[in-house]
Amino acid sequence: MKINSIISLFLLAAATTASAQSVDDVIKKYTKATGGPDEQKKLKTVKMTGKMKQGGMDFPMVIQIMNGTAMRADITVQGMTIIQAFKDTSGWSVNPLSGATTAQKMNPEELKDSKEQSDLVSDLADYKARGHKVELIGKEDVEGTETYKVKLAKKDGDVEYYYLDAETYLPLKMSTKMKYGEKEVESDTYFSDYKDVGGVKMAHSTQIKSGGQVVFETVFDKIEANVTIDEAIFKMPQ
Amino acid sequence: MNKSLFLLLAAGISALAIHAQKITSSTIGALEARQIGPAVMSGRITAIDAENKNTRIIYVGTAGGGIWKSTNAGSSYKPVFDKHTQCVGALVIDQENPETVWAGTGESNMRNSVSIGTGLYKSNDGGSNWKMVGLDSTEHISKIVIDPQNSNTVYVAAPGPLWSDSKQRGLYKTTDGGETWTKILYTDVKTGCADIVIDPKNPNVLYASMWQFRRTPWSFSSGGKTSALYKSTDAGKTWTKMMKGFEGDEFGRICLAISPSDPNRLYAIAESKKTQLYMTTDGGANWTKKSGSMNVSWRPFYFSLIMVDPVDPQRIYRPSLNLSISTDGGESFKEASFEGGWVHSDHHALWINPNNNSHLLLGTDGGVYQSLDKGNSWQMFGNLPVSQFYHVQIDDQVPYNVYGGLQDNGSWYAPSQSVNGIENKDWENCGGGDGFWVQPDREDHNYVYSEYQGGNIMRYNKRTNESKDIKPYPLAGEPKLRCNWNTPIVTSPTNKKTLYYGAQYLYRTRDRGESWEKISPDLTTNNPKKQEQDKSGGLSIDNSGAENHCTIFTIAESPLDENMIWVGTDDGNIQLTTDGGKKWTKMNAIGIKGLPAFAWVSSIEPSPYDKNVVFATFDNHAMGDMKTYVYKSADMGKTWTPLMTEDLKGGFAHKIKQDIVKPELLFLGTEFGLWMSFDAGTSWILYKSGDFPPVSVRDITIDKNTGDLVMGTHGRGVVILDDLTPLRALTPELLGQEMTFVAGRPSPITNGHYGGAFPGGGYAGPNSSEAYVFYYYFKDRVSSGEVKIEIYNDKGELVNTLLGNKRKGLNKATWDLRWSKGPRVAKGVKVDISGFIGQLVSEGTYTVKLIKGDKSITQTINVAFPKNASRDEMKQREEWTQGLFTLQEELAFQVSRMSSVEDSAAARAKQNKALEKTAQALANKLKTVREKCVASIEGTNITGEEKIREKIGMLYYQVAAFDGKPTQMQVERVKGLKKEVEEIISEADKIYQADLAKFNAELKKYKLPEITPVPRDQWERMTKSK
Repeated sequence: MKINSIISLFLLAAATTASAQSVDDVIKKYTKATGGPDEQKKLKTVKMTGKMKQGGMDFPMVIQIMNGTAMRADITVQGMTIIQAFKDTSGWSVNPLSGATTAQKMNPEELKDSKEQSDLVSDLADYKARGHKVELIGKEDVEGTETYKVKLAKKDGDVEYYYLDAETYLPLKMSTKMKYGEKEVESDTYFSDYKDVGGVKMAHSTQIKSGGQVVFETVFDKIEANVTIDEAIFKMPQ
Repeated sequence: MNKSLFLLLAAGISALAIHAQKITSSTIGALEARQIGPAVMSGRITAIDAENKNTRIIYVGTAGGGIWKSTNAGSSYKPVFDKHTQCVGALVIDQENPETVWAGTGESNMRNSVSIGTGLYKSNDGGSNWKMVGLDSTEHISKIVIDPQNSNTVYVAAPGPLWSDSKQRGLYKTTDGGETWTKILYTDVKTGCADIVIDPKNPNVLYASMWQFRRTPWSFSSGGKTSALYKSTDAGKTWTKMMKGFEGDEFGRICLAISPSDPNRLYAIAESKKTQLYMTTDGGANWTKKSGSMNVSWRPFYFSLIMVDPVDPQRIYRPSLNLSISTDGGESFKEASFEGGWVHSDHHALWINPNNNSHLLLGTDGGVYQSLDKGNSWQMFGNLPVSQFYHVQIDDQVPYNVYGGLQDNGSWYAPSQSVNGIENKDWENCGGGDGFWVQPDREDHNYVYSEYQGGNIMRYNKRTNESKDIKPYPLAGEPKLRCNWNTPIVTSPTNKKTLYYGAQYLYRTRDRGESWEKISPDLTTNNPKKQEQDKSGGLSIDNSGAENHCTIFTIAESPLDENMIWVGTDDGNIQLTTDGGKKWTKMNAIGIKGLPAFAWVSSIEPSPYDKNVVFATFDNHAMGDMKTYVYKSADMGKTWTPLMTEDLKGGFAHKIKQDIVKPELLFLGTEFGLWMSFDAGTSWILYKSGDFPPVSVRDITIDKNTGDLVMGTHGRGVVILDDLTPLRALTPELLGQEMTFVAGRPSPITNGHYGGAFPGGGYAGPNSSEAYVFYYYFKDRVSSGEVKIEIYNDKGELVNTLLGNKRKGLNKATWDLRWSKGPRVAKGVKVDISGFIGQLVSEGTYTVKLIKGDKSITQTINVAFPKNASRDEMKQREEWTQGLFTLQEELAFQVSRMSSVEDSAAARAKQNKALEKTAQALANKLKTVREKCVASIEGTNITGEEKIREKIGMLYYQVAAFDGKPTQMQVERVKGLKKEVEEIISEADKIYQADLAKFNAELKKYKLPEITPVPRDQWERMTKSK
């Protein structure tokens, strides 16, 4: 056999493998890359310390999570602390920037967002158990990097598109279409700086962009797994 | 080693090496362009559909601007088809699964300027993602219908190619949701399927019309023996001609409507020598003649829509030149009223709410209108920027204005920058009809030359709003002037007085059109066979000027030589004079290799670097040839080199533009997008940044002051790519570096000029940034490590930190030329605005440090005040702002110091109860002083409470916000506030000296540590924020 045909056969085989990727193959690799529900469920609590960055300023931030059930975020601005917290079915916030020093109840949209954030188990990896639907849209170039675009249609009607780096299978970007009653809100988030947190790969940088540049970023200097969290911090101050 | 394997590997390696340095679309992905509108007149709408169960969800298909979706009944729209062909012919929602939407590309309103499609697309997720599912060679799709009982069965009517014979025409059917297609009705290569309706109660029953039609560059023909109406009762297996009652033996385009409430009743408008409406009440077996009025018969090839009210079978809507309504089953029509405002003419799409037949959405050549009263009054959606420009031009003002003419929407201009962005209110009309070329007078900005179809050039005066007809007329005995639909009017790049105009002859004026000089003979082929437009149209004569041929289409004077003028004609001639028009030479007499004879010369671009160099694009699409033709000549047009490459897939070409700074940088406007070459045409990339769609780019110009690339698109209005500097900097050497800065245009120190004001409503196109834009390049995407940009002044102080992008290729970050931080403010119950406002930086040299993980590179930049600004005033603003900044920090220090003494005193008192009284007294005294400094009323209300902190904060904000000097009153106010702070210091000091000293004496007695008010340097260290 001539060398050329061997090479072309090899190329053909490679091409076939590439196109034969099913959505479950891709999710399997994504699950392996991130740790997946098995590892994610082992995270009982997580404490994230870092900063929110916007307009040349850094705002220190601490987020404390009880996997799937509670979350509290503290953000410091001009020496004042903005707090958002929820546990189970109700949430509250304090926003002294607006002059209110007492806690106010969260609106349903904020509550929904907070609940989503507290869930450390990947909806995509756990889609079957959670009754979501998935679809492999295809390959797409994201900022010069080849990705697999996977659609996750959640049970509640929200839709998420994951752009998984075709080499590492870690999400590079996520686009969401969240339904808040009559309203549908779309957003794009970019992830990087994946580091291991208790067996789970977590992005330590998330960016939001507008007009081709970053306008908002959160950077976590430290994410600790399974630290002790006093449940009292989630309770709404009276 | 086997030699061939070695060669193969070597080739592979060198290919890799080249690949590593190649510019791709994503290399420049961060350089997003801005669409400045306009939406005030919007553009041609071809299809509208809404969800039956949730009519707030609307999809709008356009002639050249893609598909737009609203989820809020039209309050806002988003484009959802930007990766695909922008010309949409048909659009339909599967009402059983409303997330499924079908779109047929290639409009079927077969006017001269119509674009082409690339097949049928389907979305399963409400328009977020689309997949091409077939019919890729049909070029035009007029209608899609879904079997109401089976969503997998879909019928698609494809009239097929307008400019050539094709077997791709006909009626198509899928029964597997688009996986496979069968052509179920076909006549011949000249006859396509124009319309299809399905019986909503019995989906086996279908009606379809076949249409024979054809365009050439010089004629149009609608109608012939093969045009006919058919019916099938077996879901398309067999078809029977159903025209009993139709008058005549030759037909043109036939449009159909079935009554939803009575499906045996259908209406059909059949184009013929006497175009007529017909009605059947027995499912097509017999047809009765109805109205033949102008409402029905006007331009039937262009207006091919009729609809029946969902409830009342006698009520018919006929969108045409205007919308007409019949309430008597088509016996008579009256025009819909336009109470509430004008409605743009030329209607091609109509949606009637099936749940509420008073609610209509109408698609016109000028956008979408909504009626809530069955068409008696209308409101336009001013948020759809799908305007179709033919040409674009700019003037030399600051900011420059953009001028251009649009399909059926006249001529307009708007500033490239405006307060709040470029809003609908910023666009000024300067000509009517169909607009094409618009030229600002180069000497007097009040004058604008615009035109309407067929060479009718007007001189418009912006100040007086007067227009004067200045078109050249043939002199006695001269033949009639032949003017293209899109007649060129072009100003000279070398002589501000000169304006050219092209009929079959070239004309020149140097007195604003008061007189014209004919400076050429007939420069066209003057082929009489291509000049029979009075017979054009087919069954119904349609001689609007759209088919005028053997005309001049492009004029270009060399920027290096006033006597050197190039002319291109629509019948393929490139003509050159080098003596200002005395003698002309046809430069392509022997033809150009690879270019079909007579191909339309769409643009000629004489190089600004060398008068021997010239570029040209050719458009042969009107002969059915959609290929891109772009050529360069380096010997003044004697020989031509093709610049087409395999990667260039733009369809027919409209405009080539050579950059005015870097000769190798070329921009090519094609029917499918903007293409760029960084290597003088050796390779091309498609511009896709920010999901810029493959829209038809008809014209391109570059502003020499800003380096902006300005595009006139035929479907997305005017699009500006700000600042070409970074594109000019891209070289293979640069691309080989791991990380590097890339040059951009500098920005002066200013608060800016286009900040918020009361919004004007409708679409607002973004402004370009007045901030300093940094560009930088990463060879690879940064997947780990922080990316940021730090800016230091010449003292080494960190001025600002910008967020960094991590993408592979070019990235950008903007600096507003401010310090990131405002003054430290005294702590209170509320935040103070001044704490968030950094001052503008001073003139000088700054070091910019790009940090990527543990690596960094630096560059230095100079920043300066705006050229026209008073340096003295800018300096005064700096001084006074700095004074207020210092004062605010001094106050913060004093307050913090008092608080800490109070806290310490309280702490000591806790240690020894005997101290309580004195501690309290001391604290109370300090508190009284402190409360003069900062507002202390809590609550979310407007408390109105203003203490020194708030007064300084507001004044700081006001003085900092204006570039120039502060007012005398502001200066006095600063002085007054300074005094107030001094008083605070003195009062506090007195307390420290008297009361604190006394307390310290007591502390000493109880052997507790004394309290010292925090010294300034310690406070500085404590509060130095990270």
